[in-house]
Amino acid sequence: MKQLLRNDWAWLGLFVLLFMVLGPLPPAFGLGAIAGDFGVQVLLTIMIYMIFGLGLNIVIGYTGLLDLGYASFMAMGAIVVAAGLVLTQQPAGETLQAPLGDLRLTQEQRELEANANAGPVVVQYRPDWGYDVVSGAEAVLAALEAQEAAGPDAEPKTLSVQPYAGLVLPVGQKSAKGTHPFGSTGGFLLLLAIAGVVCAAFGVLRGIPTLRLTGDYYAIVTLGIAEIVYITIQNEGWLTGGAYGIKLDGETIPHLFGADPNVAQGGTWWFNFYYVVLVALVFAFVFSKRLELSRLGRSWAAIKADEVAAMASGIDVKKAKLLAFLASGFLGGVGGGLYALKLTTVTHAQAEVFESIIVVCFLVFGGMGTIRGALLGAAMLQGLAEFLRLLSDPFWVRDHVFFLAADSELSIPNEARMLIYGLMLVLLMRFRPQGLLPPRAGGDPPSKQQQATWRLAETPLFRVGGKT
Amino acid sequence: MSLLEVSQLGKSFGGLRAVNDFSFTVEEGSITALIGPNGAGKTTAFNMVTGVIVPTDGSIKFRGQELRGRRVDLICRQGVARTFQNIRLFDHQSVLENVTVGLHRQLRTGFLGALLKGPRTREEREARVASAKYLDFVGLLPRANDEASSLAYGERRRLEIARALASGPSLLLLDEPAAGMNPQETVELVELIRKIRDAGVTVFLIEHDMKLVMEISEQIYVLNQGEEIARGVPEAIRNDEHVIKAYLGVPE
Repeated sequence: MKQLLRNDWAWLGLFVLLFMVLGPLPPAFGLGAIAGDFGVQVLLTIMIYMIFGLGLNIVIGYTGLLDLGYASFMAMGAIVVAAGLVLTQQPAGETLQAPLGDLRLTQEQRELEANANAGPVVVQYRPDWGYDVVSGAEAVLAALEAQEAAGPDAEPKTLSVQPYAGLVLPVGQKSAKGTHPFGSTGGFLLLLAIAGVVCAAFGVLRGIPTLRLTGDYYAIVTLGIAEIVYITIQNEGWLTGGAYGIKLDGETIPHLFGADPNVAQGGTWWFNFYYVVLVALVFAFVFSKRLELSRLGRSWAAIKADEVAAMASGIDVKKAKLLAFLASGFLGGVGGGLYALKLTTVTHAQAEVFESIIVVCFLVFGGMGTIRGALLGAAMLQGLAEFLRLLSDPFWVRDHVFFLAADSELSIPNEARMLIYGLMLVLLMRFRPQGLLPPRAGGDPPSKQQQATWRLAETPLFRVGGKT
Repeated sequence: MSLLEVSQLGKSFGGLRAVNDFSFTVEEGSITALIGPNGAGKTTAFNMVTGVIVPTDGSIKFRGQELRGRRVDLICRQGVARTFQNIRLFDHQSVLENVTVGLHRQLRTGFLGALLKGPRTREEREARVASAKYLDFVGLLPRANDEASSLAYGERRRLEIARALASGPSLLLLDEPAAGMNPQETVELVELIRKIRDAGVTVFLIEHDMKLVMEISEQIYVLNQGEEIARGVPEAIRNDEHVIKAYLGVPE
């Protein structure tokens, strides 16, 4: 039993089994309207946060660097996927009809000479602003003049416009029969991989200036960079939708294995998505586990234990750290990309410090440095969070807590979540500071037979002074 | 050409001159010792050779190649391994894993290799066997699966030596290997150091246990307050008046 509790694969098996048993049934069994099922949404959130937990575990758990900015990766992955879906979707063979009144001309464009800016109308969409005319101002001016001539009572016109560099569609803009390069399963998986790679690259970039830092200093710098990312996301509206965020809808959400998210409340789609996430979780597990057991994983553990001794053992500490940031960023990006589809609205709130802290809490709770700890921590704390979300609804509480009066307004506000987390962490630190499932080294001593086998075995890796 | 040739090594920490104009050589296949009272600059000299501290002046040539200014891990890759005065083990890993970390420079698998091939590769199997054999070399094989922090003091010293040997060095630097050992452990340590030298690894050590130093060293350097005060064979050092003065002080 003790052995089983320390086996990451056993924990993965347990969770996968639970997710399959509790998860949605195939729509063929008649349970179609899964989308509205609160339980399935909770399970999806838990699975995605498990991926985040595994990703952050590489930097905090394996390499021992306290990273307080993981939300940057989670948010960036979500934005890459959401923006990628929304911005690349274009009408095929037809140009977009934009309301004339939404076309924004600069002062220079208004004063331009005839023919100076002729050609098709090309625009760039800015969610907080409208369509910026990039070229073809002449046609816009002519259309505006015609509109004015027709008098104020005339019907508002639209104008055919072309997207600028493919990045044009307003958030949520519908197109009747558009091309959607990432709208298929394969396209979505590709986009997910791109999100992973972008976040991995960001991890390395962010890592370069922080390489020399350890301990508290590293934590503070990651916190600072996360704040920069948060503010950048809030302000770069052309890509992120600014404060409104990016909304995905039935048009932009990719079809998964042929399932359309629009049909019959998308039961099949949710079923398929659920299993895509589950497979991604298993992927993240194998990814982490293989790295943990590799030469690189040993380097990380050595750096965590003693950086100087690691260096003196021939480990290139900087390279190993950068690879940790890369691997961690990759998983964050992939998880974030999946989260975008689950949420369908991606805003800068994804990049808040609070989100980073929650994932750190998973690791502290589960036990720093083990995959099983990250999984258990995510399941417990995220499960608790979702339960508290229910308790924040006085109607739900009234209906489910039997001794309350029919007009009870008792509820636990959502903001109390951190309070309860805090209390749990205090209790944990008092009674089990190493976390629920901490790493354990070693085992039973090797048998006499095993020792003899080792002594007799030959390997070129064993040589003292050039002699084997 | 000597294996290690250090000339005019110097290090200043602000106004403090920790090591000054210290030149020494370590001959291939020898056991060379560096002694001196506390604060003499011995460990600073060691740290400079292994790249942990960058020297202010001087040069460090290993097999004719300049080591000064190189990164610690690259110096290790050149074939210089060391242990630390305040033992630095990876405490929460098993004894065997500690040695496997030491094998780092002899292994090849990188990031993608680890992801694509997984842990059940020939290299990983060989690394396990080799780690076990290094443990056997220092006599710790029966404890291979214990957590490193559970080892007794003398065993920890030996594990650190096994980890250093696993990087395949031709020069091994031992920083006070006998510190805190009981007489029995010290005897075993002397045997181990001889065994390492006989296998072909040159040993350079800092030590306070004079009995051990006199017994195994072929060449001894004595530092006091950052300056070399004597050098020579054990017999000469034992009777050197500067050395006696530095260690025992001058009667008022």
